[in-house]
Amino acid sequence: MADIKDASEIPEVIDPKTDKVHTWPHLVRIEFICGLLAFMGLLVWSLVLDAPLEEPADPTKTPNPSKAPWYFLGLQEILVYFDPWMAGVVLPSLIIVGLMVIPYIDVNPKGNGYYTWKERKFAVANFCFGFLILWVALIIVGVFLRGPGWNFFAPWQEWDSHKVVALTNIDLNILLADWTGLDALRNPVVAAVFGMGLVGAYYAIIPIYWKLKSKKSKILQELGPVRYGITAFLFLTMMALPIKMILRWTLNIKYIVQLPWINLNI
Amino acid sequence: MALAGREKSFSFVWFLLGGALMVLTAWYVYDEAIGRRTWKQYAAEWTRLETKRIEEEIAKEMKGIDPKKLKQIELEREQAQQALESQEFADLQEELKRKQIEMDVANQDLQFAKADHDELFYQWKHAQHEGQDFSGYKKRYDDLDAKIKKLNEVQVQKEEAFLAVQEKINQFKNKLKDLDAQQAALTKKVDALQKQLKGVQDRGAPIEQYVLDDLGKAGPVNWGTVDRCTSCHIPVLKPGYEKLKEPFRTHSNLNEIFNNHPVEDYGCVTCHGGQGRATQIKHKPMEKGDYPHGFEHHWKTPLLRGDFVQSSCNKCHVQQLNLDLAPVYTQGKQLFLEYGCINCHTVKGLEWAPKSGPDLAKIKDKVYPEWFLAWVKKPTEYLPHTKMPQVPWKNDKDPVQALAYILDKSEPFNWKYGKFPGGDAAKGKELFNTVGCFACHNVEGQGGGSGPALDRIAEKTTGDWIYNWIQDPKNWSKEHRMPSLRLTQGEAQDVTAYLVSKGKKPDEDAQLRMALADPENIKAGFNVINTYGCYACHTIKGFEKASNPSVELTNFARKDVSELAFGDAKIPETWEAWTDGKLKNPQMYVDERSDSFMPKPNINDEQRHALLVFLKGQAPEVLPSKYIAYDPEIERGRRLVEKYNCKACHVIEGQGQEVAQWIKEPNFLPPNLASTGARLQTDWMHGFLRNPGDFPKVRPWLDIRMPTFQLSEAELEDLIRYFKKYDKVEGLFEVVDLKVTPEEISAAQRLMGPENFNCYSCHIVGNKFPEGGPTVWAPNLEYVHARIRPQWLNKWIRNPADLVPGTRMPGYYPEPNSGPKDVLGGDDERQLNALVNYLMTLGKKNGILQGETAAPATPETQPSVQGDKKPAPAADKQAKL
Repeated sequence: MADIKDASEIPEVIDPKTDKVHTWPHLVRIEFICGLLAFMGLLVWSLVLDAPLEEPADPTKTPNPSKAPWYFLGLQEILVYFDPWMAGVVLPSLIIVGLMVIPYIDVNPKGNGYYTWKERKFAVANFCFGFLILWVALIIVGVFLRGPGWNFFAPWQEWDSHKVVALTNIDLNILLADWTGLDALRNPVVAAVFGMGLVGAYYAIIPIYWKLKSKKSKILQELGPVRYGITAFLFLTMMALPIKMILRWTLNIKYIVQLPWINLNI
Repeated sequence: MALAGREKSFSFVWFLLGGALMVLTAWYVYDEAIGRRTWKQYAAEWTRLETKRIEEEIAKEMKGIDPKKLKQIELEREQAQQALESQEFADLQEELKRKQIEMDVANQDLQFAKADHDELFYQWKHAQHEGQDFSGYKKRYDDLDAKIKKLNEVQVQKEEAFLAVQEKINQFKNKLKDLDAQQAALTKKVDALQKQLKGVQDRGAPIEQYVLDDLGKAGPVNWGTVDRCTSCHIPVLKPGYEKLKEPFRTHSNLNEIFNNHPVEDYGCVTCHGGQGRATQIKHKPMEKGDYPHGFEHHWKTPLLRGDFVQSSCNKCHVQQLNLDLAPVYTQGKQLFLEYGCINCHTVKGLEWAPKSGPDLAKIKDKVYPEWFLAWVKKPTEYLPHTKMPQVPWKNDKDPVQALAYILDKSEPFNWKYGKFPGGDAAKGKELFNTVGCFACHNVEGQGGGSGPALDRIAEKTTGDWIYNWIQDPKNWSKEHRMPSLRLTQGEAQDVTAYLVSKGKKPDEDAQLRMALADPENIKAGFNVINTYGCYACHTIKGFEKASNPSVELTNFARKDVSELAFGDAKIPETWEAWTDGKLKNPQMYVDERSDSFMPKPNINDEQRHALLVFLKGQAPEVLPSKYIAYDPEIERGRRLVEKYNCKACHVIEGQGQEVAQWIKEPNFLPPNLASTGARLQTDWMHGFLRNPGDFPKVRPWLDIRMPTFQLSEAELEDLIRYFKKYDKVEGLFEVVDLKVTPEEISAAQRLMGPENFNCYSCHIVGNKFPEGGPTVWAPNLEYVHARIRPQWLNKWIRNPADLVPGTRMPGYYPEPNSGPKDVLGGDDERQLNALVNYLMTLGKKNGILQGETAAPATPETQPSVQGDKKPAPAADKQAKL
């Protein structure tokens, strides 16, 4: 890669008004330096740290903890809070479908070819939350902080396979029944209806918000009811995960809805 | 907006990056070629060591060679070399070239003619098949035939001419060859060493490996192994490096082990553990990061160090009781059986083990309750070396309740011999120390440890019981292994009198006796016994169908540390430390939420170590059958030998005869049983083992008695099959019916007479005892015909030490043609046949000696040596001379 010694060698700026320069050499040489640094970093890494192989596989011995490949550990972490049906089927499917529909629901033309935060606050924040917090952070938790028995260990704690954590999770209806003394909530049918009602109420935010804001909000008007509905549904579903996590951490809530007859618990 | 970096020069950044990249590349190459190939360092070290050794040897050899001789050869060589440069030699070589060409031309002519010949034959035959005229071809074929014959002659001529010239040239060269040979003979050893040195220096650092497809395990799956151990342990399979340090030391017991375990079939890791594929030691050997030896967190089978390597024997020898090359493992296995570990903890291969403690079915009639309670509370108080473990009683009530139950369920004993009428203790002591009681029982510090010591026996039981017991142990318990020594009633009285003098009857404890009779206690006793597992070692009524009180240990060595409960114990978190601690103090891991009823085995440090080695082997693998070393017939016999403590008196498989500690005169020891299976006839073995008392004594001078073990028919068969199989005797049943001719009788009598082998100077015959006294006496020859197999006898007379190492019997035919020259024409084989036939008929009932006039009579009428009284004519003549 030729270095540029003289300003006269620099190709002309294409358009001084838009403040743009040629990719070659201005961008490429910087990219190449980054590439080299990354390459050297990998080289040193591979020399210093051997690939961490585990023991030979033994079909009669299940390793503890049993972990999925690292890139799936975010999903495995969701299993702590949701049933396999939700964590393994519904949520991953919605992630894929949601990513696919983005081009159709995104009506904001700004930000093409340049970085902007001010002009796309909702989109960028939403992505950062969904990807960095709900995907990457959960992977980090799954890889480094989950030890034997899928118990949580701080980085400085030894993975003790005998660690005991009290199991005191409780279903929402029972918790409410304990609090209020309404024993009717202990009835599974009542509980199912009650839970479904709560979930319904959660998603009822979508039309209510439309009703309240659509007249004043330009963005909502540009979206229109269908695109708004889809966007809002995906957003609320995404937010259901942190809500459930917080409910678990604070109130030990196990399930909000129980439909044991179709093996579905939320 | 600024155009970041547009005008800036990046030269310095490029310079830095380029430099760093070069350094990294050098690092990478070093790491790949040297850093990760630690075996190369050992290969280089080995080359250095061997070079030094061989160079020293070469220098030593060179000193032995006369330098003058070498110089002389060198001089002569130069002269011979000069002769080769003469004109005459050059002419000859020139001529040889010419002759070579002529020979080649003649050869070529011949080959081409033969080729034409083949083609003509084809054309002729082809035409014939097609029905065409072929006479032309045939004529040409015949003409060519004649020509070939001529060409052949020419070729032979030319070849001879060539060889003649070559011979002349060889004469010039022979001198040189001869000198070369002389020099080679002089420096033969040095040359060999030089060759060896070159091999060592050209060796390099190859990866050497043994690839085994059917070994190497992870769980139940065979992964195969690749053992590269010999890449560093280069001379491990070569003798002569025993004194070097690892990794260059010769394997211990090289031949004994590898004759039966060829490395190509067994590899290294199979026995030693470790990670056979690995070749890199990261820091120091035997530390974390030593991958080949398996010192890495995820490698579950690191190198087995010290005695622990013996635990690997369990993989294939799981069914065998005795392994000579694995003494610690063997000791551990036998301890596991004898101390009753097996009764609570099953392991694969030992499922057959019987209950190790005595039957308690009739205990009430045997022991004093006061003694009984003291015993179960602390057995070592009464017997410091007992195999009964210390039960971890949680309170004082439990043992009383357990005994209450056991005594309540006790059945009445059949007092067959009545009350003990009294006897002579002094005589009893003498009997005790002669007839063989001491082989198993220790009294006053003398005697074996197989049975309990009897120093305080009177504290435990009554004279009545001892009197009944020693006369017929099976009357007490069918399962008990105590044999009968066929004591007469008088002898039994004396021995009993002696034993009741040992210790004193405990004072009666009325309170205890009341507690033992309390129905509440009897009822509670069931649960106590169930909890502590007494029934595992002892037969107790009501527990016939109870399962093992503790866990199976078959895969115990595979247990991960995380599966072992350490409780509050402060010990290293390793399998070895846990197991050792458990054996030292079984309750050491108990905490507020757990409990343990495992009794503490009464073993010393060495025994505990042996048990640890045995337990470390509890990781059986499903190996291909070719690896499993197990002969059920042999093993069943060995179990009986162990059970009945045969080795206390006899040498079996080269081991045993503890009694030699107390019987100082070798001729008063029970016989060595080497080659017994080949020696004895099945019928006789069967009868003798069933009851030795049915037979006249073969060694009548022995005071120690072969006991009557009251073996079952199955046990008898197992024992006989074991001895026969061990000595490679095919088939159990043989008809032994040898005939002897008069000529053989006279020959045998002469051979056995004083002028030759002088057999009767030691051997008893009938009731005639040699003068030398009991220390020289040897078995009675009268019974040879009934006991001995003639095949064995033949070998025995030849060279007895081959069959029974250390025997006093001399060998008369150790080598061919060593027999007396004046008997049967000096023919060894005929002499041996005569001796065997004679001995195999001597003393046999109903005559024998067919066609014989001066036949010796049967021992029934004339029990002494026949030859002495009625010598055959030849012997008679000999005697007169």
